[in-house]
Amino acid sequence: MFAIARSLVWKEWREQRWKTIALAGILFLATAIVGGGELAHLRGALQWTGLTTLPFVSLFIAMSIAASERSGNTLGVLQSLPFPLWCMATIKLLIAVITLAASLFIAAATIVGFELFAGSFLGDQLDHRLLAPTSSIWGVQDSWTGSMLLVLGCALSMLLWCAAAGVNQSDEIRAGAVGFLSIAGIWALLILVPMAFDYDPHLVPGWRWLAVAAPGGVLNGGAPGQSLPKNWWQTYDLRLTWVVTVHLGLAIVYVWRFGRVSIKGRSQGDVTAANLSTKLDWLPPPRRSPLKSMLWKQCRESFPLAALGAGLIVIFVLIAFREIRNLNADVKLLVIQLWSFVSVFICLVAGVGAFMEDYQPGVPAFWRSRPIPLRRYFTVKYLGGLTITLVTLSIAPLVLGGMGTYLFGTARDAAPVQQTYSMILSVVLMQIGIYTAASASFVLSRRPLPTALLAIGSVWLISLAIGELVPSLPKAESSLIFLSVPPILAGISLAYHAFRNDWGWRK
Amino acid sequence: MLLRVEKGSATPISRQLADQIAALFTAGKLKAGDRLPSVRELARELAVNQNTILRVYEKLASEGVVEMRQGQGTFVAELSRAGRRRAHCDKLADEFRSLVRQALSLGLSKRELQELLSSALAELDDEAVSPLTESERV
Amino acid sequence: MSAIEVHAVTKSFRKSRVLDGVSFRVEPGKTFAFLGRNGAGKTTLIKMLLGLLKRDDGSLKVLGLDPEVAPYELRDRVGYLAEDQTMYGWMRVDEIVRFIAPFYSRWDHDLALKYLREFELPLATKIKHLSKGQNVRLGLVLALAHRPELVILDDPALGLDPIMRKQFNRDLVTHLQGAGATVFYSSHLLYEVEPVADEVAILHRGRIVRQAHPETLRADVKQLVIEARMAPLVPRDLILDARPDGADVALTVTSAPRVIGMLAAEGITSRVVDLNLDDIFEAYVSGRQFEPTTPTPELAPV
Repeated sequence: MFAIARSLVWKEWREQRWKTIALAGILFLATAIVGGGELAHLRGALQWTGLTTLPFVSLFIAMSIAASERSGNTLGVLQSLPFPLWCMATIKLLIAVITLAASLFIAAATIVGFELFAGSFLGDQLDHRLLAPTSSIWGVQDSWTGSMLLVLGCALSMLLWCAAAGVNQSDEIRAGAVGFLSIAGIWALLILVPMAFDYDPHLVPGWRWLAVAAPGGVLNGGAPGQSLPKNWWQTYDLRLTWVVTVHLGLAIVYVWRFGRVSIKGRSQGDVTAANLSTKLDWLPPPRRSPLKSMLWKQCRESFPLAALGAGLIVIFVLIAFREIRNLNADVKLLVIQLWSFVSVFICLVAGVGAFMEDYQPGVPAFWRSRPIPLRRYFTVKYLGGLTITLVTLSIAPLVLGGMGTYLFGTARDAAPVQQTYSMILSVVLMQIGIYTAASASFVLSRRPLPTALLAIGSVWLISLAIGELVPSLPKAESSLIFLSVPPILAGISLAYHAFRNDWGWRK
Repeated sequence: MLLRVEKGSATPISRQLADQIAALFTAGKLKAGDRLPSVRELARELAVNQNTILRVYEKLASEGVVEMRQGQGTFVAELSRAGRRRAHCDKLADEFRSLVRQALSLGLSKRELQELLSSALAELDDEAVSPLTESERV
Repeated sequence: MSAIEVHAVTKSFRKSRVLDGVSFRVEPGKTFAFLGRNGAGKTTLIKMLLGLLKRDDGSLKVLGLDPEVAPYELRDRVGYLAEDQTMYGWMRVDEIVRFIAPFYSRWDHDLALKYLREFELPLATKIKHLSKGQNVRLGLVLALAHRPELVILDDPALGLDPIMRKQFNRDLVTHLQGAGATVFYSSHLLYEVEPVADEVAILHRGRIVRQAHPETLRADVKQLVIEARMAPLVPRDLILDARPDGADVALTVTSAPRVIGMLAAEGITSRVVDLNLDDIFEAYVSGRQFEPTTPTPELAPV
C-alpha cells in the first residue's frame, strides 16, 4: 500500500515538476520586468505578478488534475490498481497544491536571496513597501509574507473550485469550461441576487460570509484598516475557519468524485448498428469545396467556447450594472475592462483548442494522409478560429457599450475618445497575441497545461516588455502596433512551420 | 458445396481446397456435370484470394476432375471409368509413398513393411468373410 | 510500371536505424502483405509511402510519383487506413464523409453510401460512440470511396475479433481485389494474411528478409530433422533456425528441396516437416543459429 502511494507520488511529481519550474521562472521573470530591474521594487512586484498570474494558472492546473487521466486514456489503469481512487485523487490534489506553493516559494526565495546578497551593499535603501497596498485583509496584508500567503490562498481557492466542478470531464478544455463557468456563476449569483432585490450586497446579512468562501474570495476578507494586533489570536476571525472548511469540503468533493465514472467503451455501436441501418436512406451531398469543408469544421470547433465567453461578458456587465447606475461611471470603459478580462481567458483556451482536435492521439495520421493542402488547412484553422473567437467576443461589448450609452447617457467623467480607441486597440492586440501564442504552443507541446504555461509566460514577458517600451516612444498607438505585430507574426510563422513539418515534443 | 479453410495449418490453402473438392467428388457428393461456384463467389464465401481459387480450379482441371468452360463456369468433368480409377490410383500412390517414407524414418525394414501390409490385407479379408460373426460376437 | 517501387531506403530516428536498405516492388493489381514484428519498421515505411515521413536515403516511387515531391497528388490517388486510426470524435458518420469528400478529385459519393450501407454504419452516430470494428470500417469507407488505384492499410486487423477479421478479409477480397485495386497492407497475423495475399514480404531488423508468394514460401522453407553431427553438411546461409533435440537437430532451412537433394546425395535420410506460415515467420525473425556441441565427423572433400 505504501509502495503504491510512493510510486503514485513519484508519477504525479514527474508530471508536475516541469510545471513548477516553468511557473517559478515565469513569476520571477515577470517580477523582474515589473520591478523595472530594480532590486528595491522586487518584493512588491512579486506580490502583483503573483496575484495576476497564479490564480489564473491554478485554473489550468485544476483542468489538468480534473481531466488529464481521462483525456489521456489512463484512467482505466488507475481504476484497475489495487488502491482506492480517493487516495490517488488526494495525492494528485496535494501535488497540485505543492506545485503552486513551490513555484511561488521558489520565486520569493530567489528574490529574498538576491536582497540578502545585495543588501550588504544597498543597506537601508531597500524598499519593503508594497506596490499596491489596498485594504488590509485578515489583518495580514501589511506583512509581505502575509500577502504572499494571501496570493497563494486565492490561487488555491480557484484551484479547488475549478477542480471540484470540472472533475471527470472527458478532456481538459471541457473541465476548464465547466470550472470557469461555475466560478463565474457563483460570482454572478453573489452579486446579481442581492441586486435583483435592490440591496447593496455588502449590506445583505451573511453576504460577506458567502463572498469570502467564493472562488478567490479570500481576498475579500477582513475589515479595512486593521493591522495585525499584537495578540492576534484573541481577535481570531472565525471566518478563516469557515473558509478553510468550505475549501476542505471542495477538496473532498474532488477526491470523492475523481475517477467515479465508467469509461465508455466503443461497444454500444454494435448494438445500435442493426437498429440504425434501416435509417440509411439518405446521405447529404458532400460539402461543396475544400474551403467550405474546412470552415465548417473550424466553426463547429471554435464557436461553443467563443459563445461561452460572450455569455460571460454579458453576465459580468450585468453584475456591474448597478455600479454604473450608482457611480455614473463610464459605461464604455467598464465594458472594455470586462471584455479584456474575459477575453484573456477565452482567447487562451480558444488558442489551445484551435488545434486540439487535430492533435488528439491518432488523429494526425488521419488528416495528414489526405490530400488536404496543409498551408490552407493551417490558414483556415488559425484565421477561422481567431475570427470566430474575436467576433463573438466583441458582439457583447459592442451591444452593451452602445446600449449603455443609450441607457445612461454620456457619463460625467467619460474617457476621451482617443483613449478609448487606444484601449480597444490594445485589447484586440492582446487577444490576437494570446490566441497566437496559445495555438503555437499547442502545436509544439500538444498538451493543454504546458501550452497554457508557455503561452502565459511568453505573452506576459512580451507584453511587459512592450509596456515598458511604449510610454517612452512618441506615438503610443502606432508604436504599440509596431511593437506587437512582429512577435505575433513570429508566433504565426512558428506555428505554421511546426504544423507543416510535424514538429512537436509528443508524437 | 461446403468447404472450409483451416488457418495456421501446415497444408497450403490451395491444397486444402483441392483435396476437399476431390474428396467430395470421390464421396459422390459432386456429380458429373454439376456446376461449381464461380471463382468470385467462392473467394467471397471463403474470404480467400481469387487467384488462389483460380489456381485450385486450374489444378483440378489439369487432373481432369473439373472442366472450365469459357464464359460458362466450372463444371465437374465427365470422367471415364478408367480415368477416374487412374486419378484415384495416383492419389493412393502418393499416400503410400509418404507412408513408406514415414515408416523408413521410424527404422522399419522393408520386410517388416511388407508384413504390415499383408496383415492389414488379411484383416480386411476376415471382415469381408465374416461380418455377421463379428456382430454376433458383440 | 510497378504500383510501389522501394529501393535501398534507409531511415534512422536519432541513433536507432529503423530501416536499413529496404527494397521491394509491388505489381499492380496484387495484394501485398507486409509482415514484421511490432516495431520492425512497418509503420515507418508506410508513412514514407504517403510522404508523412522523409527518408534518409534511397528512392521511393508510389504510382510513379515521389511522395516527398508530390504528396497531395499521390494522396488523391491512394486510399490509406492508419494503424489504430482515430478520427474526429465529435463528428457524426455522415458529417465526416461530407467533410472529407471535397478534398478528393474523384470522390464517389454514391459509392460511399453503398459502402456505408454494406458495412451497416449508423449515419447519425458520433464517431466516438462507434465500436472498434465500425471504426475500422468507417476508415475503410473513407479510404475507398474515391476509387483509389492503390490502397495502403496499416495493420487493419489490429483490435478486431476473429469474426470481424474474417469479415474484413471478405471485404478485402470482394471490394478491393474484385475491383482490381493494388493492396498493400501490413499485419502481424500471418494466418489471417495467408488466404488473401498474393505476395508476402517479411521485414526484420530494418531489412526485407524474404519476399515470396505464400505457397512458394511454404514449399521452400521446411524443417528437416537429421542427426546433429550431420548438420554442418547443410550450408549455413540456408539455415534459418536450429533446435537441438538429443542426438538429432531440427533445422529450418530455405531452398528445402535443394537441401534434401544434397543430403540424399550424401546418403543421409532426413525427416521433412511441413511448416505453417507462423513457423516460417518465426524462423525468419527469431531463428537461432546452429551451435555444434558434438565433434563433427571429418568429411571427405567433395
